[in-house]
Amino acid sequence: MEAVRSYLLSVVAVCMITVVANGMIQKTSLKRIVRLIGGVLVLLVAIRPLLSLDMGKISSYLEEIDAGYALDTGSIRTTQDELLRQQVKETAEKYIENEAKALGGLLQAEITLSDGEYPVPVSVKLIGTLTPEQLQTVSAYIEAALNIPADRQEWRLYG
Amino acid sequence: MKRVLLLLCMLLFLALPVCAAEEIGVDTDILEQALPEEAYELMPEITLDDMPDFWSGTKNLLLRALAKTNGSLQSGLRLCAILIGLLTLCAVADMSSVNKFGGAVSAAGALGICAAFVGEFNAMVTMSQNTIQTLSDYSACLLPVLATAAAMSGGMTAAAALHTGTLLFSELLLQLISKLLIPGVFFFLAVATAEAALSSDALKELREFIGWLISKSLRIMLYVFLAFLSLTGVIGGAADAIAVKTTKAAMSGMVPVVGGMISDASETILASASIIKNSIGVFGMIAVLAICILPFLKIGVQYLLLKVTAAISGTVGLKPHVTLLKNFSAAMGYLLAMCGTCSLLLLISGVCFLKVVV
Repeated sequence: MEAVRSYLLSVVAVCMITVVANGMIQKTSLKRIVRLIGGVLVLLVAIRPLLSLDMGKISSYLEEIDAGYALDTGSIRTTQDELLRQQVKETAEKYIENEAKALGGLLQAEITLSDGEYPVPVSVKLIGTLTPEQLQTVSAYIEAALNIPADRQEWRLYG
Repeated sequence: MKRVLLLLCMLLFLALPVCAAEEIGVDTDILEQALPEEAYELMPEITLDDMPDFWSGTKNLLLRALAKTNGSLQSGLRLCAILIGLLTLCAVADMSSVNKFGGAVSAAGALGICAAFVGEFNAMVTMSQNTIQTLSDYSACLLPVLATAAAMSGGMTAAAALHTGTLLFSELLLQLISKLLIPGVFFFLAVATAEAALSSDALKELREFIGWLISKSLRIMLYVFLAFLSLTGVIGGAADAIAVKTTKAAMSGMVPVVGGMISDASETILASASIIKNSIGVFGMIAVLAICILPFLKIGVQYLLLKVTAAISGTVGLKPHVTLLKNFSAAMGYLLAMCGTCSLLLLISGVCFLKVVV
């Protein structure tokens, strides 16, 4: 950008000097010579720098500006995944606990989620007080609704 | 009985809490802390905690800023009075002088008018440079926060592209304005003054070229940015919508009965992030307006006064001097355009972030 500014400054300066010199000289013959010299100077100052213009440098300049502006999508995805896992876990646990409550029992559930791309419940630890009939109903619900078979349900009952 | 139980369960899921900004990894305190004091004074009632109302916020901003432009109006009127006085003096001197001194009157008048104008113009240049730098610094705080919130609301691809693009164009514009266009405006003034002093059309083409370069650079920058935003919005939005739908479908398919409810858990996070994103977006846009509105009004007042002065000076002044005044008002207009372009870039970008809806 500094190069462009210097170029513009030199073009403006040489044009102004040429016009001022032309304005100051009254004699026609001298005016012709000054005009000729002015024209050659303007040509050299305006055209010569453009011959050495390197588009590669402009491309590198733009690349330099671009570097370091990328959004850190990796850490955002990590935060999103963590929040999603937390929400899925809480939702599934609440569902089981509410099912047990609806049947008249008291249960605390702790879900374990899969490690894959989409977090789904794979196993559950259940602590509470349920009658055998209630236990069977809840266990069947968990198997049907959350796809957690009985061998992956860990029960710890009291009372 | 089963239907009642199911309804109760569904009501419980509706009561899930909305996520706070910190929970979704977005630090919003920095947006209020990074605001310059002058801008903060114009928007004291607007905070990120309540959802800011854009129109009432902007209206209050404008009214407060207008009240602060009195000083600018007085100094502008003073300058215009000096310029008209000089013009009239030169016209009278030209009428009274012998032919060979006519050129000297024109030259002295042009230089005198330039000297009277340049002090005020320098102050306006400093103000617009500071404004543009402040906008750039604030955008470096605002855009990552806004982009993170937009990405968390499901628009990952669009947010990343908007973030990178806006910062890149903002930096390019800052470099262009500070290193080329502002010096270009001074070159424009120098050439315009020489043109008036010499009372010749020899420098007219050069002056028009510099003016064209300044106005076209800003326009091209803005058009390219708008084109980039339009394409990003369409392409990124489609990709993000597919990604969100795929996640929902996969999760609801994996878990038989409550799969739909579990996949709705992801909707909860997206909805919370979307609310936070909207709040940040509106606050950010009002903040950008707060930063640029006062300088914009001050420069705008000077610009309008110079326009009026150039118009009325046509009745008394010499033609080269009247043309010089018109060029001065054009130079002030270029400064206004530079401030306007920078703030417009950020405002349009803010709107695009708000429009990232998956």
